[in-house]
Amino acid sequence: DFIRVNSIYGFQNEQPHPHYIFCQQWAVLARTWWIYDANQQCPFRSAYRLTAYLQGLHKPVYHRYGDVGDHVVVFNTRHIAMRGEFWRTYKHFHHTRYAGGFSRASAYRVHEEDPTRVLERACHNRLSGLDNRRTLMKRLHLFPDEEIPAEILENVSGQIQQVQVVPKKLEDYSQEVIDSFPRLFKMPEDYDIESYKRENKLEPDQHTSKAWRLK
Amino acid sequence: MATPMNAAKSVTLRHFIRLFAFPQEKSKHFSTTRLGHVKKIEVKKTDLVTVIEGVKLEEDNSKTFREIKAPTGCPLCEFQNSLTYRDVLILQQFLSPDGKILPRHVTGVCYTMQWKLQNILYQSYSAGLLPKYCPELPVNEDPTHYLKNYKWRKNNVYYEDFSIENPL
Repeated sequence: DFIRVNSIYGFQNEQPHPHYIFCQQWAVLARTWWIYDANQQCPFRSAYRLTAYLQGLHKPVYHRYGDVGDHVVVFNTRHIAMRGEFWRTYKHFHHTRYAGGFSRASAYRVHEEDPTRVLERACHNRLSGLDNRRTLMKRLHLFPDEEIPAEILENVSGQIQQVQVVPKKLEDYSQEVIDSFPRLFKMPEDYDIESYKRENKLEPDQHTSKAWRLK
Repeated sequence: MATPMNAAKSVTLRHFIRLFAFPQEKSKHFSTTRLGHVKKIEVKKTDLVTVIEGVKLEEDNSKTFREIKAPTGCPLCEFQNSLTYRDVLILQQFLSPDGKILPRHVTGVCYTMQWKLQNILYQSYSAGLLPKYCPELPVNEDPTHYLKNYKWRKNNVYYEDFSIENPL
């Protein structure tokens, strides 16, 4: 018995069913919703990925004015991680276009008032030069914690992979794992376990002078 | 008849041989347990007599030890390029219960790795992975500025590791 299949790989002149063509069109030009967890992630490295989905660079039908971008939902922006001393040294500038209207603030001060602004500025700066930057930023939805309204969660259909590895704290390891981990060195012979409580005049810290040491 | 010059030469040769042909002999006692034990000092006071004693502690045979593979005798020399601030289980062994780094003459670490350990421990503390670390600060620094509740230290932090295993 033969099973009749409406496929593209059929006879030469056979066309697929028009319902199939409509569904194919809708699937290609649909605007999908993606979700991203920003816990312990760098805002600049994650903006590198998020803006690609906002513009539509992940699609083969990409064009700048083709309106092929997707929505992106980001949560846990409060727990975002910056490199080294950047919380203190990275500054956000603002000018009100009036005289004396220039102000700047460190990233940690901006983060206290609005925990989503650091990521928002990172994505905004990454999309510089584009005419449709404002429409793309409207499709970026940022939430500081894991509370997302149900209307938006219903639309989500995919997840973007995290950029960085989330490190494990010492508290997350169980006591059995800590004890069973092999030791790298042995204590020397005749070592006093409570010697750290006593002053060590042989090896003090570098910042004390010899005269103070030998008092 | 040994002239002064010949006498000097013979003494140096003998000294040379004694040093290098017969190096310092280590103890050749046969025993399955360690002779030198880790000790703890206990003080017992009565009305007339105080006894200060170094009590031997029994070894924990449940712990496994890793062989030192570097020829320098340093347990961390093989991890020169692969030790990161995320390896908390290794870093935790080099801390005393007080929260300070153990000195080099106890752990056997070489100078370069002890210097790197200090930097990596500060990184893991600022990332929030190792809250036990509290080193001695210089005299002019305020210890409240280094607590985890201070202005910018509340937020998460990551550091780049230029190690061979993760070459960016």
